[in-house]
Amino acid sequence: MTDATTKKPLRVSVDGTAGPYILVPGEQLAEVERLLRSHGVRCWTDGNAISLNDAPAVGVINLGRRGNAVAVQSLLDAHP
Amino acid sequence: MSFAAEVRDLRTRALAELTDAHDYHSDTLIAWGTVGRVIARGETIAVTNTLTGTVTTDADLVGKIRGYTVERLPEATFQTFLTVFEAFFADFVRAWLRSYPESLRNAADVPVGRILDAADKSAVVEYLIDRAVVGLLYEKPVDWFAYLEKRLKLGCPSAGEVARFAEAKATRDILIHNRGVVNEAYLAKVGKNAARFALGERVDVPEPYHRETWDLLRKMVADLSDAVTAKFP
Repeated sequence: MTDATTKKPLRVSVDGTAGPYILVPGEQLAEVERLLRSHGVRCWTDGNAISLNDAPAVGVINLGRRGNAVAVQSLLDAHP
Repeated sequence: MSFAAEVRDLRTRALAELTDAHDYHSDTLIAWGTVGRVIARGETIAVTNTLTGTVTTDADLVGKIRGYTVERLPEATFQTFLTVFEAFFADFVRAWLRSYPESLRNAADVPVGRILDAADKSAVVEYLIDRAVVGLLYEKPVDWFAYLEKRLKLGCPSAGEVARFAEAKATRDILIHNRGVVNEAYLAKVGKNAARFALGERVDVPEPYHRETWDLLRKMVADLSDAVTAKFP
């Protein structure tokens, strides 16, 4: 799946200790969340998509400590 | 002040405190999210703690923001939600017992020393009320609401709501007393069917659960207040 604002693939990040996460343009949050949930992936957003200086808003989809970053990345890659 | 009027005041205060706690949660998420976006844009931050001399940089913050926003903040505000409800519940029972002290007639004996030291009868009654409330709060949540139902017959909260509240309270207890790691006490309080985690796992407070708990507590406060207003106008 591609980031609608940067045109680059969406990436699952694994830094930190709070579990994997995905930075997603605000306009794609619902679509990505729906895709993950439809494949049984436990995920949530914090309800905010932050925009600075009128740049496109960005939100975070969290996968939790037990989130499987590799599997979710494969899922995103398989849905262009 | 009548019992119903006092409960309405308690409701107003509890709902305001729950709103305030959730606003703090949301505003703090926005603040940290903004910091993260600023750093991602390439701006640098260096803050010196004048007390310790520790310098916090953008690189330090990047490493901390995820843990702060996904775990520590939701866990802290979740605990606040439960604390607000417990204070509401304790004050609710206190208000009931003050209005209807006859309910204390079968309470256990009062130590003679307490009576001798009391300024008057109302001080003894207040002691009995405190003892009843504190004793009740040490019981399981299902017993809290059974206590109310037996005396007030308000018809709320529902059994399902009590079970969800009991799970949330057990989650709060495990965060406070066992670093968030599920133990036998959590499983005993919640029961196998309602437990969100297995023995040894660390609990989490994801956004949907955080929001649903907040909604549940607001509903329980409002329902109890409405029921009292209807029954004790």
